[in-house]
Amino acid sequence: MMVAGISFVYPAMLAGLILLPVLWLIIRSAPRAPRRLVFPAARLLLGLSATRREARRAPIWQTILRSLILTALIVAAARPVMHRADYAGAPGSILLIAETGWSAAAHWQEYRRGMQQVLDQARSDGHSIYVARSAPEPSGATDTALSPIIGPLSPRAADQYVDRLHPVPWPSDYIGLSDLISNRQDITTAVANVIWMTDDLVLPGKEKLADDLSAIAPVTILRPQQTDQIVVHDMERTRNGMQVTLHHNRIDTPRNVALLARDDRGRVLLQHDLVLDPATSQTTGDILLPGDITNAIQSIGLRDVESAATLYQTGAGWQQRKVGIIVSSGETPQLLSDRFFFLDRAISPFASIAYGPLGDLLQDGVDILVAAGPISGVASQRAPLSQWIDAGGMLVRFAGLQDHGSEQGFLPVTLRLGNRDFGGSMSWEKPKRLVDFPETSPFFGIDVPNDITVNRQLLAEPDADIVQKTWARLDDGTPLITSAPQNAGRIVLFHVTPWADWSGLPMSGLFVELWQRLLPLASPSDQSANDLQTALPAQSVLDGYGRSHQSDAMVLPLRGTPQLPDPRHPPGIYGSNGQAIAVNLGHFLTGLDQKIRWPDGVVSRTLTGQDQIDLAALCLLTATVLLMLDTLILLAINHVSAWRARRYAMGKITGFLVLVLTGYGLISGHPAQATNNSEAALQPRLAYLQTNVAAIDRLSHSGLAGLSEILRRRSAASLAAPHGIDPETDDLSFYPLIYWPLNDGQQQLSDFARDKLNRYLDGGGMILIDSRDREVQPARLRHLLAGLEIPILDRAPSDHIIFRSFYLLDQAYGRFEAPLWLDATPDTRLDGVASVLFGGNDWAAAWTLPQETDADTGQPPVARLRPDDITAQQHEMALRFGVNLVMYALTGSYKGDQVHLPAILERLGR
Amino acid sequence: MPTSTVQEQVARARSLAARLPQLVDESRRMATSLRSGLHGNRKVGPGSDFWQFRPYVTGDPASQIDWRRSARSDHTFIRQTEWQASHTYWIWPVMGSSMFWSSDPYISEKADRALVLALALADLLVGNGETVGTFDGEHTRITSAHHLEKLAHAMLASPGAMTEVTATLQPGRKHSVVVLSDFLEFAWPGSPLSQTLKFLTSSQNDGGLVQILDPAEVSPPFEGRVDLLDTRAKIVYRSEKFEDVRDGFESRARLWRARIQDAARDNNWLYDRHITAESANAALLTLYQHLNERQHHGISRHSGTSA
Repeated sequence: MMVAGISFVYPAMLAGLILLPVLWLIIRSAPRAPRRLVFPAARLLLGLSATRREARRAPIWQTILRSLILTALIVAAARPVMHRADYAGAPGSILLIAETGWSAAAHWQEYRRGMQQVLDQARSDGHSIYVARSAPEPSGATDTALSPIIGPLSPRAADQYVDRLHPVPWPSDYIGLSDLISNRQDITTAVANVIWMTDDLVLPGKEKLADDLSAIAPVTILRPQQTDQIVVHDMERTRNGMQVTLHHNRIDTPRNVALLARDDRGRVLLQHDLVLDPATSQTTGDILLPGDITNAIQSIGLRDVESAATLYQTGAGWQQRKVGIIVSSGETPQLLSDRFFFLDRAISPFASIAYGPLGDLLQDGVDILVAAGPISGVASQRAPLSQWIDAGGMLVRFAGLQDHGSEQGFLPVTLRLGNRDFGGSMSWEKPKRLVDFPETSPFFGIDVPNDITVNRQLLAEPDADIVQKTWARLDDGTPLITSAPQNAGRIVLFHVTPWADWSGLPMSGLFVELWQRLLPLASPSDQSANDLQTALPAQSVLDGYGRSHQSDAMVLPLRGTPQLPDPRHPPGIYGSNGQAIAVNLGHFLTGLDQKIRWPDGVVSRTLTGQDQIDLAALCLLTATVLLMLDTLILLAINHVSAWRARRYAMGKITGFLVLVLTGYGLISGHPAQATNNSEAALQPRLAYLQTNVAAIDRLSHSGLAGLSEILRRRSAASLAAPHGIDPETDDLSFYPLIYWPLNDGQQQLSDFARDKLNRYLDGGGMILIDSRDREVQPARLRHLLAGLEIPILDRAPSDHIIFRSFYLLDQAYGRFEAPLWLDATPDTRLDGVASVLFGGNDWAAAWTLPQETDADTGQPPVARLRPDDITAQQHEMALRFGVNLVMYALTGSYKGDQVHLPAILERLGR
Repeated sequence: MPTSTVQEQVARARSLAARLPQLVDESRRMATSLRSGLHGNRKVGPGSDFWQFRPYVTGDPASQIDWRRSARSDHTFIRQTEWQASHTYWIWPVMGSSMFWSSDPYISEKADRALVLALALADLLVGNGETVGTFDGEHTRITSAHHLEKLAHAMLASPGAMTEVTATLQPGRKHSVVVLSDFLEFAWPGSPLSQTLKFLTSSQNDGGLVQILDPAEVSPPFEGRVDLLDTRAKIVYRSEKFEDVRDGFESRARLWRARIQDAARDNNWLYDRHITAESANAALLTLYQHLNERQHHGISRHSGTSA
């Protein structure tokens, strides 16, 4: 039952609406409860009878309101649902086939939502889910396989699983999926519904899969609303720009698409609008562009479509090379075109050609130089030519009219004198044929036609490295094309002429293909392409959405020509520099113009764009609100006065509550976390970091206690007994100075404690680090203080405030006489006061007062703790330094003025 | 509406007692404003009990200065009134349970109003040199405004119903008695109000009845289906549609008021009516003036009849 996009799960419940008139009458006749009013004068009414008696009836507004409430309740019971997506008809488990092949990327949002709808329905119906993926995945080291069907899953688990699915940039394997499903006996018996999100593309095995599935359970195909599939099939350079070919399915109406060309950094270089023609399944767009901009194009994609099939990347072969053909200065163009006709035809589709003498061409900056026979004019240009090759130029030489003679250099191999004739009139030998290209050759993988014969060739001396240098050879093993690198550049020699008298090669299609491979090798941008690879590792690969990613271990290197992408060879860029080849998915996709005919019994539906909305809750809410309204009105009528009186009281109650709450908030602060903290907050005191070595802690405590006692006696600073603190648990912010004795066995501070110490230092705290060993060992120190933001330390200058803040001292006296280090450049934000002081003087030992018992802990007299080597003089001086130190910690740079006092006084005296 | 029990009645009386200082204060304010108002209205005429002018001496109350006389010369004169023997007023707010009620939280309860009026009146009278008392067990009497609180407490302790009045109420001879109440117990014909008044007037007592009514007791605003309760939360009357019986109620209420008025008139007493929705000041002014007039005319008439 559908009304305006709203359908009911239990339409039978709507029959309850028939009862409404009856309910109406019941409600109407039910009178309101009388209001009860106190009215002392009511006794006057005694015995008074009303002249007329109205029927006891509920007022009309109340009847309407209550009828509405009942209606809302009845409708809610029928569970109205808006945009109900009822995909799984039969009760039972659902087999959800997620299309993850390349064609899914363009519709993934819809598929995802469709899956969500299916899962939502399964959740409300309590069905379990099996999920199958249609596209294979990499498996093991080199194989590919379909991932197993997952299930049975609860809808919630399935939701999480589906969330991780993504379309892949290769085709689905429906045949494999058929086998996979038929092999899972448990699934074929359990499944009551098959839901398959896919489009109308014809792909091998798809119809059979649909057949197989419908044998298991009713199949529902969910199609995306927009079933158009557009792929960028090809992209070629033309003389004055480029040509892009789109393949697409047959569409009903012309459709506009926008092509976006991007450069290597993803910036959009141009947008080109195309109209897809409904009549055909192929649309070609010519884009006129200057050559250098065309060179910069790295990819062409469709706007607003995220799919690997709509992204066409260019490889190294895309960039147009400048080829210079060396002629002697006297030759005229007509002659040229005769001799270089085939060469011109083979090169010109992919590169621009210039003719001229060697010197001019070198000055023009060409990428490839081509010469037939001896290079004319080489005698005067030897050095520039050699430099050009060294810098990455590619010299391609052919046999010519004249013998190369004894001229050496600029050849990959040593040539024998004289040519070799086969099959000529004076020869008994037959013309030779070309054999397949060796793996070391950049031409590896190109098919060699049978009809190419070679009658004459230049013969190379069989040097030791002739095999490596040979890129193509004849069936007798003699090289036809040889090449050798020279620094960043390369020299290539065709052992035949570029015209058709020595061989059939120049006039064959193979010649064009050879040039197609040869041209990118002359890399104008990158000069280091001298080592040729046969297995091209992936540089970057595309995901299903056409986004470029770093290649991973699942991707195998590309050998030979690109094929239809598979999990091991996803589309992307393979090989580097001049050998970079783009593998494009769209190039290999065919059959887009056909539309699949689903077998009978398969229901094909379109995914709805709207999510399912359950209106029952809304109805219930309405009923509740109306009920509350009814109650409110009754309240208002029955108890106007009471309500007013209550409003009177409400203000008072609210005020009281606010008062109480405020008061509560004021008194109930956070209870003090530790007694240590509350004590520390009440009185200033020194603190030392606990080392968990009892002897050191006792010494620190007694040392600081002694210092505090001396301070109390000699200065106005009245400090309480020192605290041993643990940065893990205690609040540091109360302590003006923390004494930190280092010891080797101490544990590394946790991140939390380190962070706390750093914040303490940053907030103006002061730490005295005592290595207690007279010597400073930086490596040890670094280990102990790892993670603390210790500023750069410097030796304290002898006129530093710390030596002037109470006593006039000349060094940091302690048990030892090591220098004191402190912040080299104190933070001006902290008033120029050092936050970290460092030394190895074992101050605590020197501060410890003799013959005193620690009252707090009842420890033995600290005299026993105190090392014996401290003289009374040392003790006194150490205490003086301690007093200065605490003064410095308490007053900061205030005493800095005192340092300059003599100078100030002197100035005043004048 | 919350039901009322005896305990609640007690609680209300207590809360009234707790509010006494506030009420006393309010009544003082009323009396003060009224006194200054009376002062301005004063005219020379046959009713004035003028005695003589005397030059102003420091310490005399400023309210006694006669500004007209003073303006005629350079000296300031005090208007001295004829010395009169102090007259005694008995003011009795009758706090029956029906008095602790108002139809609307924004209207003060009848008991509040009765008390305020009684105290303000007492304040005015005491200020004029009269003696004011009330009918508590000790028959408390005051002659000074400083003892107004004492009088207020005594008023609260006075009997809460007129029907129970016995010989315990003993106003002196020729004293005046002012009763403030809603007189709801005398709503029915044949009620013993006249007898009660007879007793109060037995020793040539002058007096007045001040009927204090809630606006709902004159014209009830109720509508529809109501159950009307008395102050003891007992259902007294059920009405299916109150509009039908409103006319009946209003005519009975008129009769009720007329009955009280008649009873007062029968005894040659004053009758005033006050609706709590109206201003207490106006009621006090009227009451005071009426009492004043009776003081001058009524007493002479009394003496005339007795003579």
